[in-house]
Amino acid sequence: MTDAVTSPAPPSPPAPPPSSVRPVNCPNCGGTVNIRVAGTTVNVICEHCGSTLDATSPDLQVIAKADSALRRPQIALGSRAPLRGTTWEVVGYMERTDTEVSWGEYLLFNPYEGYAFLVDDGRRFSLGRLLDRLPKSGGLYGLAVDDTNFSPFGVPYGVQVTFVVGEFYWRVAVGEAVRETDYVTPGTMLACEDGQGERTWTRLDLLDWGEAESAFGIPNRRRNYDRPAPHEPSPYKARLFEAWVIGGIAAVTLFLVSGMAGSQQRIASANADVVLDGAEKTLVIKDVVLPPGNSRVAIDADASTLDNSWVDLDYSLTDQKTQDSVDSYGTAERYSGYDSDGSWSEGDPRPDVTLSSIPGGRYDLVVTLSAHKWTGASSYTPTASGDFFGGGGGQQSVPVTVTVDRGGIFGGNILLGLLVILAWPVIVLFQHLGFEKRRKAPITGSDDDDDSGDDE
Amino acid sequence: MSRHSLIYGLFCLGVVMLSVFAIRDGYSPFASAGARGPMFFGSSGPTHK
Repeated sequence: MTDAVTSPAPPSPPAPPPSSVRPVNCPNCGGTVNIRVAGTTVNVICEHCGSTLDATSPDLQVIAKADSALRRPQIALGSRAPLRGTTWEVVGYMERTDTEVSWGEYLLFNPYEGYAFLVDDGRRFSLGRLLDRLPKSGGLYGLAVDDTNFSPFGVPYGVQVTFVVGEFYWRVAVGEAVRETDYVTPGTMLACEDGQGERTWTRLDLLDWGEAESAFGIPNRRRNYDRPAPHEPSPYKARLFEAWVIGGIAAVTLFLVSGMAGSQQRIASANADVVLDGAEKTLVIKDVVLPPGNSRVAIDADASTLDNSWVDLDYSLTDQKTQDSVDSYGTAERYSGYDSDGSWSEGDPRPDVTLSSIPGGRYDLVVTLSAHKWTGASSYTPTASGDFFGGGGGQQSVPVTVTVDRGGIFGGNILLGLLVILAWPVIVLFQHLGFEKRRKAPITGSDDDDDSGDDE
Repeated sequence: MSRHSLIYGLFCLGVVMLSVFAIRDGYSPFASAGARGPMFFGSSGPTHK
């Protein structure tokens, strides 16, 4: 279902000028038919009635009469425009189909350059030139022309002419069929056509958006990437590369900045023993000094001797001067036991809390501790001393150490920053993959049009 | 460099700058400040099975 180019090899470019137009009358309808490339044109299709005329006969014999109303190509026959450094004149136009997709092909002529094709797939134009040499083998199962490797695209398919008007250097007619095989590289297609006992190779270069439209003065096509041509380069590839480079630099910078932030500094510490299922205990750590500015404060508790019990810790960091306080809490816990699957354990006996943006000043940290035994425990593990929590048979107590640190960084901030930074490269990556999926749809069998590109 | 990349570069610069300010001020939206809720009854236990 790809763009293709017709035809047998054209005659060698004629000697430059004189490119005069020879007007003749159509023997079928009487309309004026202009033969623009007299001498090499063999077929002329009357642009008034669509009859196929023999340009080699003096009286312009009718080869075939048209049996349908003639359509006008978007670019009028006889139009001239510069494309890629050469001024081309449109001398013929035909439409072809592979039964799934149709496209148009303009036959262009320049007295110095010979013939070329302007292929219109409805979205974009490609400029095709017949190769004057055979491609060589290149790449994996591919071909090479002028050191450019082309990969095979799909399988050979049949192409048929459905409409034709203008003059051609071969006897083209509606129904003319060839077998086409495509090879692609981003921006260029190599089309091999087998038909009428000969094989031709055409190199099709994808023109920029609006290039042909501006040259021939027709309305610009709207940019969309719903159904990319097989040789259409991904419009997201360059953007993807730039996004990953910029995102990588930003991510590395983020890590460097985090590394320069410094580590935590211990500014206070205290111990307390809390009786299991006993009264709450209050621990006050006085004169916790924070430097001017705002600081991150981390409060850690360590009750690593816990077993099948927990300690509730309520913190209140109070400014001695303003009596403003910041509250927080944590739970130190440790549980273990046995079941049909064997032994298990869970819980964190060293919980920590982090306080954000605490202003500089002198603070008191009030810690309220309350220890509880898990009554659902089916077993417990004695401590190394053989005495549960060191309580000695009476009241069992749990030693808890509370420490206060300032500084350091929040890991969540760095993770959030990375996610935000990498979101765009990931989005562009999916856009690129979606484009490639649609580009390869003819050979993969998928037909996903729900993801159209933007107007870049 | 495309317009998209320029905007994305500026966006990344903003994210890095915000991170620098957050590190300087010890700020995080993930900080665990706040008192225990009023509905807390002081019970806990393992979630194993």
